[in-house]
Amino acid sequence: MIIAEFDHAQDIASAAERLHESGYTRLDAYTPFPMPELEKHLGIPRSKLNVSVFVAGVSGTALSFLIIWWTNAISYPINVGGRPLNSFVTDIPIMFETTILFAAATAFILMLTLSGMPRLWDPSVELEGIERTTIDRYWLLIDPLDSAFDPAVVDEMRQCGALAVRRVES
Amino acid sequence: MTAAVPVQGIREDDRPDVVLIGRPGDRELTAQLVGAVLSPPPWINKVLLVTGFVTLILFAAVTYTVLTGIGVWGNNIPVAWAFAITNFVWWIGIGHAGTFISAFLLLLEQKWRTSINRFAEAMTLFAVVQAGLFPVLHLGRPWFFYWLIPYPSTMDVWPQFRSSLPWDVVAVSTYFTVSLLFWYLGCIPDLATVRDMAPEKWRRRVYGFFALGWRGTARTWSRYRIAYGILGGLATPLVISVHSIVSMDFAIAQLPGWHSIIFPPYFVAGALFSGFAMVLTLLIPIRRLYRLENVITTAHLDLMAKMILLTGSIVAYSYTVEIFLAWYSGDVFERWMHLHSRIQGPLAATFWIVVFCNVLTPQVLWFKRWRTSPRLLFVVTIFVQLGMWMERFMLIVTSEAQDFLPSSWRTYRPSAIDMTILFGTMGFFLFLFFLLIKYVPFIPIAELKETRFKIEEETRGGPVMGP
Amino acid sequence: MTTSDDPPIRARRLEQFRPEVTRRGFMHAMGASFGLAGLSACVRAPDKEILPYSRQPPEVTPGVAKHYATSMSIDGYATGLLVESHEGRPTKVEGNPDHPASLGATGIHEQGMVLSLYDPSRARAVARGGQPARWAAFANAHATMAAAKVHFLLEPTSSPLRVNLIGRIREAIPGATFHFHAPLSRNRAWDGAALAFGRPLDVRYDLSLAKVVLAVDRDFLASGPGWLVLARQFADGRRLLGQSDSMNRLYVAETALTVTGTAADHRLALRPSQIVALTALLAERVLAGQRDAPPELLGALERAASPAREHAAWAAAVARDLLANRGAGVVTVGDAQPPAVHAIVHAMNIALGNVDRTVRYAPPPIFEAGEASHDLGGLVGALAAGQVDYLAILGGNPVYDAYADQDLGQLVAKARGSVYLGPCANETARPVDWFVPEAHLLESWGDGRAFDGTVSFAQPLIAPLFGGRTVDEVLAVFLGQGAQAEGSHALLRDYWRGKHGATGFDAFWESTVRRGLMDRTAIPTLEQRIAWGRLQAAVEKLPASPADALEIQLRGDPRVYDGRFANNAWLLELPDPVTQLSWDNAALLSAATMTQLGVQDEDVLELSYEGRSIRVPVLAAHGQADGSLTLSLGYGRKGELAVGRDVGVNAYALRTSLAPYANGRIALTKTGEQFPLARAQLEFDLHGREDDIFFHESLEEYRKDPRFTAHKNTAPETLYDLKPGAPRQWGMSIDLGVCTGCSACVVACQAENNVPVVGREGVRKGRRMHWLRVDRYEAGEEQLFAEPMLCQHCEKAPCEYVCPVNATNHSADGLNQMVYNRCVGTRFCSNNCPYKVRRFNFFNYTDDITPLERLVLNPDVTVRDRGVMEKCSYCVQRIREAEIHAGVEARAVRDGDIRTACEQACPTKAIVFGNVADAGAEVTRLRHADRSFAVLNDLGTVPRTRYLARIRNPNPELAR
Repeated sequence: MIIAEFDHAQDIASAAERLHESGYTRLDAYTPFPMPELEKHLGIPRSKLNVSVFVAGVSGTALSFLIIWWTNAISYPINVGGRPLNSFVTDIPIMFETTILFAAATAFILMLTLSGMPRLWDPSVELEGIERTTIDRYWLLIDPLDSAFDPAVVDEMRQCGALAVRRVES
Repeated sequence: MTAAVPVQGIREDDRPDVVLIGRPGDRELTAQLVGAVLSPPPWINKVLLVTGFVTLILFAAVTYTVLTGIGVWGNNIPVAWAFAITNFVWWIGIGHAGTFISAFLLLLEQKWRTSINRFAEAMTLFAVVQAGLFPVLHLGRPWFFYWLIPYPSTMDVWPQFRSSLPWDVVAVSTYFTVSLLFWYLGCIPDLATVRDMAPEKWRRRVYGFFALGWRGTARTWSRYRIAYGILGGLATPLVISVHSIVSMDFAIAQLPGWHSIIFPPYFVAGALFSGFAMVLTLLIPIRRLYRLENVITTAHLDLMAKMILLTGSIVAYSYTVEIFLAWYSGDVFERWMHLHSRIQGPLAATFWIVVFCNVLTPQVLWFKRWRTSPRLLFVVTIFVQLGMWMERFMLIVTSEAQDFLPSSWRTYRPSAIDMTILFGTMGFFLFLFFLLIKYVPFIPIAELKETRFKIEEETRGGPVMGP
Repeated sequence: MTTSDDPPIRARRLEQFRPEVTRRGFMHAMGASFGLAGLSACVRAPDKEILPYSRQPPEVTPGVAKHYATSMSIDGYATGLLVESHEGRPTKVEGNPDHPASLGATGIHEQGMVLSLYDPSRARAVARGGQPARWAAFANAHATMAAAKVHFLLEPTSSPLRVNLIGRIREAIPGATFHFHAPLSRNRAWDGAALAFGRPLDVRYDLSLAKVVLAVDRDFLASGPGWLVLARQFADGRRLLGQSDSMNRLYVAETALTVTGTAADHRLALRPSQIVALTALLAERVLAGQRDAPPELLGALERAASPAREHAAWAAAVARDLLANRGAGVVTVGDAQPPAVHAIVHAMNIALGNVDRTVRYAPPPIFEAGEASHDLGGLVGALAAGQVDYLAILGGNPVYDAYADQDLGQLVAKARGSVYLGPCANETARPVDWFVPEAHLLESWGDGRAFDGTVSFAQPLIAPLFGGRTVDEVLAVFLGQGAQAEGSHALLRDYWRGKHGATGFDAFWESTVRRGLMDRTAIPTLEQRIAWGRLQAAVEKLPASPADALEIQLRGDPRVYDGRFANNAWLLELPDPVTQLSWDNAALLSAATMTQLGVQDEDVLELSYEGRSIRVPVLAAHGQADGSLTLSLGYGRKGELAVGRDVGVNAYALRTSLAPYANGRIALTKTGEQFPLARAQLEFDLHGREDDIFFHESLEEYRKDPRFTAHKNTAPETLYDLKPGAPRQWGMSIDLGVCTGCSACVVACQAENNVPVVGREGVRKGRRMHWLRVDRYEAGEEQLFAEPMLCQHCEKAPCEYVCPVNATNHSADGLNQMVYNRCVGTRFCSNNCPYKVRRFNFFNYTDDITPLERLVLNPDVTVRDRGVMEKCSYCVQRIREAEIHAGVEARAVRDGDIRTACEQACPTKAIVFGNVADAGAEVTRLRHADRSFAVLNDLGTVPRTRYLARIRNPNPELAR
């Protein structure tokens, strides 16, 4: 595994772009803040999160309606103020809220779990200087097993403004 | 490195259109913001001591109430709801601006949102905590509050969902949960940053734990962006719905002064109005104390002041419409309520305070000079919050005090316990709030870096234009 | 008042008379009575057989209440009652339908009486000189007094047994003298009759035949002998069932607005001195045409009438109306008016030909009525002269309520020995040597006579809780019979055996006790000739009215009467029927007089007269005569009273034998202090909401358009059609035309439904718990309308759909039911109830009452906890009980089977409850009758409680 360390977002972006053009597919990066265009160059597909969130939301709507309808109209029907047992209109507010609740919770949980979080330790922690990637350093990771791999990439990275390029055993 | 270090070149380019002053590097920016957490200023402990004490008084008053019965309050028949529900609506309304800033402005990609959103979002959480106290506390038998939740019981009885109170339960709890998730998600990268900057081991451990092992790989970041966007998208309609539902606590009733179709928008506007005011009330001193004028610039003050002016105008309009509708309806009860009871009845003072604070005071914000003067803004926001509390009180109490049968008319006088609880929650709120700014980076570091990067991309060099 | 106000003495007396009522102490005192609360029957049952009102299985059926007939005497006039008993524990009082003085109805005092039985202030032991003593010791000490000059001070009595005992004592003890004292005595009425007819007489009215009634300072719809009957007859005389119905007309002249005044078609508010003049003026007009009335009399009347000249037009119109209805009119005058006025009124009734039609005269049932023994002066003189060997005060509370100038408190000490038979350590208990606890009515055997003389029996429902004794038992002691154990039962039985004769006595006894009265014992009425000469002489002597000084009227209180009910929490909490003032009494003034004096509500005035002064808060009263101040007697009690001590101010301090009812010479000064009054209603103006809240119309207009309320008697259009429910659908109709606002229903409801008392502070804070209240609304100068307001049991109840936990919902038979156990206390229901009839338990109101007080609770009704909402249930416990009985007898529930507590108590039958799904039911007929309307009809709540509009019958001559 080769790590190229940059100290400017622009540099890592352009570096990633060049690798992308030269056909690299097995790339990754550590950055202190999200960089959509970098993700583009690294060839990360857009997450499918929204689909599952939508499903969760709809099930929230359905569930709350079923609960209200069953409890007030089926399980314990009783005359309340001469209103119909199944007063759908008055169900709407709760149905709306539960939709949001289920959707939001799903989005949060999926985001973490898909990213393997929460976890208290992983091998990358051992890498020297990694703590600065949450502060002011930008790491570009290149996999030697990449089909388009070329050992010259190290110099290439230096030209792109990498402070250092290291090879680490993963 | 501490927050006290002055950032270069603030004065010259501190203009109402600049949302980030100077071009602080990643490290510089990080250091400044994390510094507030790693080496907090000494005065904050004193503040925590005082507010913590007030919080204890609050808990004492609450305990007394629960043990004795809410007869210790000023409530009566007809005024069966008074301070408790007023405080509930007021606090929850204050929360709304936080969500609005962090979610709605996110969707609109407003850069100026960045530096203040976490701060505002935290305010939301703590305001909702205060609000949440009251619906439970005001019950005759608070220990049975869970009967409003549908759970299988041996008696096979359920909540009655035609009432707006179960709606409240769901709305408020949803609102709190979603706000919490949204806020925490935003915190994670910064907690990681603190973890990685903290010199002491224990800090690294603690912040590391709450950072959930965040590493900021590109893949995580991409999911993070999507999730954050989705939460923002969900929180925006949520914030509208929550106060609409709160307003239905009154709108579905038939009391003159409650039974009004304009309540939902009217209440939402009022909520944002008081919320933005509260954000400013907290922001202005903090900004000064932590020397954050470079990230929370005059532009922020200016824009928030404009929001206050806007929402304030909507509120003022609602007052007019309400009174007009009452007159136009020709309904004897509505007319009495709006044309006599409120403006010249026993509690007329509240109405006129409301008019002064919510309608007249914001007018000064038409002028840029005043919008950009922190001192004046601070005063205005205090008035606005007083006014909004009075407005809730007026809506709730005057309507109850003089409804259909004159024989049962009776006014209301709060008890000492009522007062203690109201001011107690303010102490509790500030206590939680200062706890936050002592231990959590309250200005989003990663997002600020991102913003700064974007701005650099757009304008190579030169003072940053925005929003 | 007396030395024993100083703490140590009071403390000692407190121990002596009122051992602290802690739970354990109480268990010790009367643990046995706890059986009552449980199902084990008759633990405290009277030791002699008592007989239920109607035949029932001999053994007590747990859970099934029995009713026993008894009778309650106030100032000697008995009213027949039925008392409900649960496993031997009396809890509720109803009227005895067979009894001529009740006709099944009751007033607030009868309703409240049962609470006094469980009054924790009741004395618990015989005492001598402050030390507990034994009854036997008392009996022995008093068995031999034949030689002594013994003075007995009793309340006026009509009891044949007591009269007999008195006679025997007079024989046995030659030196015995009997005195009869009642602060609100009828002496002036009797003297008036004596003046007119030469002998004291009671007047009996038949209002059912009356077309025109003139009441001069006479609150006949809420007080006085036989008032329940008068109220019923009056109501029947104006109960409109159709536009063709006729309706009587009521004129009232009085100082302070009374219940009767609010029912008047025309009312004249006069200062006390003007009332005399107005009567003279009316008499002058009425007697003008009278042949045998001497012209000198007319002259005298004219002179006496001069102060009322300004009201000549009014008087003329009333007189014309009375003359136009000869034989169908009634003129009646209050006991407070001087004898001459009574005499004048008798003359008017004779002149109007009302006698033997609507007015009859009969000897009073009261023993020695109108004789010297009814004047306390005799006793006072004897005491002052030190000629009293022994003073026996049996019942009453004379030290508190005697005239201030007689100062009985000091004089009692002048007797060489004294005993007081009283309910508790009150004012009179202080100066005496011996104290004997008095048995409560519901612990006593006895008899009495109704206003018409009908002999009425009293039987105990429970053995004396604290060894109390009756007056008869103590009298027997002086006959040397104190030792015998049977007590009042034996006395009564022996006396009546003697009267009736041994043959068939048991059957006679059983039927009398069972029914509570003796048939054909009414006192026959007598023809009377009026003595015009004496009348004229009396009129000549009528006092000229004083100058414009503020006149102060002292009157018996509508709630605590003469003070005997001043320790009754129900009656103290009950808002005054007119001013809606609860707990204290206040100086009532007209708004004009208040501005004139420069005082406002709750300002404290100091009233002083002959060196005695009291400080009393002011209250504006609707209909109060300008230039007059009205103050209720019966408050400001001292002594060991758990509830009533120092509630209000003691107006007796201003009451002297020369000016007992009205006084123009009382000095009045502002103190600058304030006293917070507990007013149950603050707003009396309808704010133009007549058509939504209270319909009222003149008879004339009503006849033109009898269905003028129809548009407010039909539910507005709705999206949700009402589902047909059970075969029975409960509803109520309240006739505002005959409701007088006497408030008997309020106390009845409180007693039936365990409604808690919240105290002065509670009422002030607006937290009264009454399920049924009587709203008052002002209409113009004269009118103050009463509207009983209780849960309307809306078919589209706004309270129900806002309850988050289904704690209030609708039963199949149309009841808006409240599930206390489920209520969490959001109070949203109360906010959304447009009638504001829901009550909230802000504290735990039943937690701090003593175990003794708990005994009054109705076991059929849940006692509510802190933090839950409660409200009128249409007496659902009675509904279910009736349904069960009907089921047992395999029949349908009949109309009239179920009567709610308020309906049952109502003297005028204004409240009718029943099944609105039954076309034949009375309530159905009334709901669809003319002038029926729903309060706040346009809100679409479809209330099950409907009201009948109030129709007034103004005299066209006086109608503006």
